[in-house]
Amino acid sequence: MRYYPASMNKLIAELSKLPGIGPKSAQRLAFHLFECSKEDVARLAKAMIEAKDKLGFCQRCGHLTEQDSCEICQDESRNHGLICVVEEPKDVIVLEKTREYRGVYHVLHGALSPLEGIGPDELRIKELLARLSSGEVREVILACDPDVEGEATALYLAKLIKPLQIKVTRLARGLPVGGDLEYIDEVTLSKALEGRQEM
Amino acid sequence: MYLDSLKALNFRNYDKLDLKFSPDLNILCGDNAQGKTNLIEAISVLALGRSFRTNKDEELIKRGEFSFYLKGFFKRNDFTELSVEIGKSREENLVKLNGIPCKRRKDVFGQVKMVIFSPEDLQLIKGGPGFRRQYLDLYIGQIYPGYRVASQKYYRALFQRNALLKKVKNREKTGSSLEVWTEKLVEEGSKVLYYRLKVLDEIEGWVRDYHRRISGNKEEIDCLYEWSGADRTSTIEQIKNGLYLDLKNKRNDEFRRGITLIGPHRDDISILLNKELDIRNFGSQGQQRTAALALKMAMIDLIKKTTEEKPILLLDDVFSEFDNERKKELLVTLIKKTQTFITTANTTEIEDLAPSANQFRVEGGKIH
Repeated sequence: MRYYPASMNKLIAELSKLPGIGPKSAQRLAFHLFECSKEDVARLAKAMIEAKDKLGFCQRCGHLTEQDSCEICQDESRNHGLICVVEEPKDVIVLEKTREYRGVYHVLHGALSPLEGIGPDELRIKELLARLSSGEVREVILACDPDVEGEATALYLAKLIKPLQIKVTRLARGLPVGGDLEYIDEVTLSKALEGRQEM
Repeated sequence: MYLDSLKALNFRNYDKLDLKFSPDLNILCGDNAQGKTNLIEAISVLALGRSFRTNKDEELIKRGEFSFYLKGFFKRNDFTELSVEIGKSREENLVKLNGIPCKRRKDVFGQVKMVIFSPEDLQLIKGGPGFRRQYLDLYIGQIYPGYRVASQKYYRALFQRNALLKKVKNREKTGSSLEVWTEKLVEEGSKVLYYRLKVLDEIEGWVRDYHRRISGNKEEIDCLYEWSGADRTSTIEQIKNGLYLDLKNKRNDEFRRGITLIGPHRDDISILLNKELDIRNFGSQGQQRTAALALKMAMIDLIKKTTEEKPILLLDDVFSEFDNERKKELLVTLIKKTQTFITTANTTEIEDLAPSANQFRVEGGKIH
C-alpha cells in the first residue's frame, strides 16, 4: 500500500483491524470517510470515544451499562429471584425483545471452550455463585447457545447450582441445532421460554 | 432416484457440459486422462456436497479459471424433482437446493443417495481403521440425519475434551470441567455407536450373502464392531453407561497422554474369514477384493430398504476387477435395478451390457 500517502495508509490499517473488514473493505471505508464532511467524521470519532469512555459492564450481572449497575438490575419491578444466564450481552438484548421475561440476567461473557483456553475461571461463574448465596434467588434459567460448547457450559452450571437447592431450568429444545442465540427470531425464543424444563 | 441431467462450467478439465442421462445404465468410455473420473466426481459433488477425491475446492476449478459451477437435476421415485446447484468462486460458495440458497455445503449431503465403487475400495479391507469408519460415516450419514448431527457434535466435543486433557497434562489448567466434556462426549458418542451397531447388524446378512455368492459358497465372513462395551442388542442407555465406564477406567491414561483414548473416533470393524482369520492380515488379495465389494453392495440394499429409494451407483474403473463370471453376473443384476454410471477404457469388457446402455465418449474434456 505504499502508493497511498501515510495518513491514508494509517487509516486503512486501523480499519482493517475491525472484525469482518478485509483490506478491500477497509480501503472503501477509508475513501468514504475521506469524502465525508469534517463534522460527520468528528461525530463518528466522538461516538466511538464516548462509547469507549462511558460503557462498562454491570457489576452485578455483567450486561453493558453506562453506570455501575445496569437498568435491568436497578428495575425494582423485575423479579430478582429469577436469573437467566446467557453467554453474551447481545443475548440479553434478544431475550428482552421477547417482552416476556421479567427476571434479571447474568452474562457469562463466553462459554466453556478448552480449544480457546476458556475454562470455568475465565467465565463470570464466581460472580454468579456469589449472587446465588444471598438466598433470594429461587430459579436459574440456563440460556446458553444450543451448540456443544453452550450445552457443556449449561451442564457445568447445573451441577454447581443444583446442590444449592435452587431450581435449575434451561430453554426448551426446538431451537435450531448448532445456531447462535442472537440469530434466532423472537417468536421461537418466547416459545422456548414458555417450554423451559428442569435439568 | 436418478440423475436426469447435468450442467457444468469450468469443472476440472471441462469448459462446459450439458448432458442428459438414462435412468438405467450410462457408460462413459474413453482413453486414460480424458476426464471420465472427473465426470463421476462432478456427480458425487452434487450428491454428497463434496468430492470423493479431494477436500480442496480449488482443485475442482478448471486451470486458468476462477470459479466452477455444477447443476444436477434429479428425479425421485415418487415423481418429485430435486435440483442441486453447487459453485465456488474466490469470493463465494454457492449452494442451492431447488433454487433456494442453503447456508452450508453439507446441507446437500443426504438429499441424494449414492454408492461409489472405485479401485481404492480395497483400502476398506487393507487400509487402517479410518477407512472403515469413513465407510460407515458416508453411508449411515446418507440415510440418517440424526447420525450426521450426532457425529458432528461428537467430534466437536472430542476436540474440546482433547484440548482440555492436553492442558491438564501440561499443567496449564485444572480438569474441573472435564466431567461435563466427558458427559457431552458420551451423550453424542453413544448415539453414533447406536447407529453404527444397528447398521452393522442390518447389513451383515447381505455382506455374508454377497461374499458367499461371489466366492461360490466357499467362504463365510463375519463383521464385528470392535468395542466391547455394548453389542447390537444394546439400548442407547446401555451404550451410554458402557462408554462412560470405559472412559472412567482410562482416566489416568488419558491424563498421562493428554488425549481421549476410546470412543467412536478410534473404533474399527474387524472382518473375519470362516469365523477365525482376520481377512486384513490373512486374506488373499482376491478374498479382500471380494469382501470390499460385498460391503459396498450391502449398502445398496440398506439404502433401498431404509429409504425406499434406489441409490445411484457410480462405478469408477472397477470393471476390470470383476475378473470372475460370478462377480460380473452379480453386478449385472444390481445394475439392472438402478441408475448406474460406469467408466471404462475398454469397451470390449462391457460388451454384453452395451446394447441397452446410453454411451458417452469422453475425449480431452469433451463428451459426445
